[in-house]
Amino acid sequence: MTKLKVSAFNSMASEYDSWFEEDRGKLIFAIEVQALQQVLSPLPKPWLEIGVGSGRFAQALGIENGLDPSIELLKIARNRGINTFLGIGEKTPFESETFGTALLIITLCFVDSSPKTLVEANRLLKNGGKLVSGLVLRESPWGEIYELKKEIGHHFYKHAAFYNYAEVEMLLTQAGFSIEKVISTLFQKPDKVEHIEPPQQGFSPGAGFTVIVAGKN
Amino acid sequence: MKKELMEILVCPVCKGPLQLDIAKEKEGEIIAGSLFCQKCDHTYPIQDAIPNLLPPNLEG
Repeated sequence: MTKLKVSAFNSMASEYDSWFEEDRGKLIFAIEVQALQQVLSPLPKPWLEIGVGSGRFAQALGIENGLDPSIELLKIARNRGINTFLGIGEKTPFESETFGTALLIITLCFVDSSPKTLVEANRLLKNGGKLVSGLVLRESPWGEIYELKKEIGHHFYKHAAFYNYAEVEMLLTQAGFSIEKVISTLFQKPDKVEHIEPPQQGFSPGAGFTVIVAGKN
Repeated sequence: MKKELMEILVCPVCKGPLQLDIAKEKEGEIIAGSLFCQKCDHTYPIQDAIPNLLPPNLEG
C-alpha cells in the first residue's frame, strides 16, 4: 500500500470508524456481519484478518489477529482486543502455514497488488486452510456507486480498485484457491437501506456485499 | 504484543527469523522494543504494543 493511501486512512481513522456508529452504517454492518457469520463458524482457527482496520469486523466475528498498514486504525483495533500487526498484505510478517483461515473483508479493493496479496495469503494458510473474501463487486448497484465516488475523488474510494465476480474468481484461481461457497446479501439499494435482510446462497450481481469462501489447493 | 506471538513472526521481506529486544513489558505483553532481522540488517520497532512490520520502503 502506498504511503499516500496509508496516510489517508491514518488521518481519517476516527471518521472511518465513526461511520459504523451512524444508523445507516450500523444496519449495513449488521447485514454484512450476518452473511460472514453464516460461513465462518466451521472454518479452521487461528484466524487472521488482512486489512483489519479499526477491528470492527474482527471484534464482531471473533477474529483473533489483524494486520493493517494504518497505525491509527490499528490502535483502535488493539483496544478492541485484537492482536495487531502493522504491515501489508503483499509482504506479511508471518511464518508459512500459520493460520487456518485468512479474511479479506472489503480489503482486496484497497491493496496495491491483489495477485501478490492472494499468493501471500495462500502461503500463510495451513493445508486445508480457507480464505474468506468480503467484497463489493463492480457489477452490483453498490459497486457502481463506489466507482462514481472514486471518479469524483472520494478520500477513501479514490484509492480503491473494484473487481467483478469473474475477475475475483480468476485472481483466486491464479493464487492457488478454489471457490467452495458464495453468499450474497445487501440487495437493498444504496440510497434505501431500511431493514436487516437474510443472506442468500450463491453469487448474485444484485447483491451489494458478496462473501466468497475459497479453499487452499 | 503478546510475547508468545514471536513464534509466528518473521521478517516481512526475507521471511527470516527476528531477534526480539524488549524495552518495556507489562503483564506478558511487550509494550516497547524492537525486532531485528540479521539477514536484512533492519530493525522493526515495537511501539504502544504494536510491532511495526512494514517493509522498510513503507516506513513513515
